Amino acid sequence: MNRVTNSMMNQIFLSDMHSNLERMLKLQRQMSTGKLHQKPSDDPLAVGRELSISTTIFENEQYLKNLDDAMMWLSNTDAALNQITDVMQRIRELAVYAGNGTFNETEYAAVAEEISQLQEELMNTANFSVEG
Amino acid sequence: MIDQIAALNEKIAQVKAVGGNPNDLLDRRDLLTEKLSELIDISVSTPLQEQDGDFKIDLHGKVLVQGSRTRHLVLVSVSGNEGFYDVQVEDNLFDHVDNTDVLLAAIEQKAPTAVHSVLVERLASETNWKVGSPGSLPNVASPDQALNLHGDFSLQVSSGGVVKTSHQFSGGVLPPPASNEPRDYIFRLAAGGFERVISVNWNDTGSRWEISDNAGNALSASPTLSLQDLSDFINTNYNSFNASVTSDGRLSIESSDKHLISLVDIKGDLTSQLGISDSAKTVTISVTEEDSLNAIANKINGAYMTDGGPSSPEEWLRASVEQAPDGTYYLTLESQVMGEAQRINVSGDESGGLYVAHNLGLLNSDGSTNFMTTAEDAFISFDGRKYLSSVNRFTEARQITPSDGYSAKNMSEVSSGITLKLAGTGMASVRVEHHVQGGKIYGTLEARDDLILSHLSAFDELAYRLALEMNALHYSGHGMGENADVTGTAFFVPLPRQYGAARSLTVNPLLEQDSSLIAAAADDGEGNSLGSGDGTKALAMARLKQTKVLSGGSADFNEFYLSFIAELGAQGRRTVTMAENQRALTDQINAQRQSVMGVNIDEEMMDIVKFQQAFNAMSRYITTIDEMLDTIINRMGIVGR
Repeated sequence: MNRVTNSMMNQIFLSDMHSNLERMLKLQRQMSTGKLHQKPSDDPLAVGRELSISTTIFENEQYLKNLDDAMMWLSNTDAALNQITDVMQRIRELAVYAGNGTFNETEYAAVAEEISQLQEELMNTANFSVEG
Repeated sequence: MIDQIAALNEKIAQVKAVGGNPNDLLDRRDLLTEKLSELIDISVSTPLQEQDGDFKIDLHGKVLVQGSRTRHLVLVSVSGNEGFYDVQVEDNLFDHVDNTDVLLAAIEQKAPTAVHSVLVERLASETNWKVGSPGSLPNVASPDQALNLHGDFSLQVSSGGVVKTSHQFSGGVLPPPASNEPRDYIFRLAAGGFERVISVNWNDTGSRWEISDNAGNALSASPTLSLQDLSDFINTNYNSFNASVTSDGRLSIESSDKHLISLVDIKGDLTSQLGISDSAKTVTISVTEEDSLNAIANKINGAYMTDGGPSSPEEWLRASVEQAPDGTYYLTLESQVMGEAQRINVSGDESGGLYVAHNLGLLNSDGSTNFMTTAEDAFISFDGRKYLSSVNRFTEARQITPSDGYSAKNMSEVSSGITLKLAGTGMASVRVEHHVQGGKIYGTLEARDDLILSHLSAFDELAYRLALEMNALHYSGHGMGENADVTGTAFFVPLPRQYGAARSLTVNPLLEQDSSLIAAAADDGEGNSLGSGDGTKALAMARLKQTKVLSGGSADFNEFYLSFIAELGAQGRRTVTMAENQRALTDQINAQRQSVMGVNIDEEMMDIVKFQQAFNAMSRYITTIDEMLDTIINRMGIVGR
């Protein structure tokens, strides 16, 4: 029979208490940070998987952002092309309008002025840039 | 603490000599010993076990305390370990390396105890091969000036092993040529800084082959050129080579000072027929009249990662246009990876014409190469094993073994846990001995020497490969806008060597100043950009993330980092588990000790009651005796009174 002494009891009590406290600390840590693992050594396998998943999430977010950018670029291009179509339409109208030979000098000048304005607009539209 | 224990020993001996029982002093000695055992892995023997009756503490056979005599633990500075110290036992001090002029060594705790002998025969030059010659183009005042050159030349970055062995030939190599067969063969034989251009020509009048080189050596060979002829020519004229014909009919050429041999055909295909020519990918660059230096540089840079072209930084070089002191411009080619193995081989067009290569200043008219810098690998022999290394500080080097045809391509650990730093040539010996092999001090040493350093080197590898691969791709791409014709720009400031790479990883400041230098566009094969909207190179750089370029081509960046973290975690986990187990063990032993020496209050109470009762019993006994005596003395014999 093993002889049981008070200091043994003390020591065992203390070490048990410490291991319990350690567990509690860990749980509290998890509670306060909201994270299951603090260090890779908490669970190497799980942390590895978490890392690769978070990389994937990050990559997917970046892809989404790229998609958004591409969509915006396309819709801007679309709008610009629409605008150009409108302007071309107007120039065509003017050309047809002015083409019947009944205009006098000032009227021609006015039409020319408008066309050059429209040309300017065309240039601006064509040079449209998305986010720099 | 060792001194305190010794002093206590002395006092205890004194007290015991006069017959005392110094329990308090013994307790104090126990306590100190316990503390010492936490620091280092000592073993203790008490006077009862020892014949000489001394209290002894020793550390793996080295006595620290014996009676009142002591040996201390001393911090010894380790040369080559960045001002760190090793803990050694007094009177047993040693140096890890006996000749620090030759070698410094950083030794990890995991390195097994041994004495290694190291012979450093040559240091690494730690340079990249660079070809070019300043002032070779006297009329070129601008890098954009058309050169009016037309023709081809080809480039290759490679070299073979220290021994080259040819295919088997039973008869001769070259029979007398028929009228439509080639009569001239020219090839280049090079190793280290040595280079010769060797020609084999058919002599019509003598009806025999003639071997000659660009240094004026000549030999008349037989009508059917044999391996023995080539071997004789090499042996007679070149001291640094040993050639021989093996019994099974192969030509073997060995570099006697263990340089990497490079053999390239310039005209004809003699060395390929022999099977000894360098096998790396060769790129042919076509130059047309309107090409400027910049355009040629772009063509060369743009060849990286093209179909069938070089696909790793080791296999390619960087072309740039530099200005000579006299104001003219010239072309330089520089290998991307440091070391002798990345020799640049320039040869002419298919028929051996050197016109373009010579006019660009890459080759001399006799076919020898215009090197601006040459590279040499370190050559050491470690316990008899021979290694080459492109850097002077390494844990892994390329071992020269017959198994891979002496090509010394494969890295292997020189000796477990030892990092060598070469400082000079000569002999040195490395002594590995660990005095402290346990306890807190060992734990600290292990963390310092093994764990932290290995993690640092993981980061270094990550940074080095990232910079190397990114740069290799970036060199080959074109910028945009006004920099559309610029190739060869580095993305990161180039990192020459892996050690310390993580510390100095920086984006090229030129790119920060001018973002149009970012080379997203690929080359069209003619030295022009594919256009400012092209993103081929940008995609290729992004794809690097999934390319297996780390750990010798077995892991991509994510995997490398993951495995690094996983290993770190596993190490930590294992250590924690081990610590828990050890603690349970010591708890158990402690409990047993306490079971013997400890005090139980109930037991003491029992004892008190027991002794009280014994006392009472004794009192009763004495009272009874007393009464008896009283009766005897006072009441007996009173009859006669």
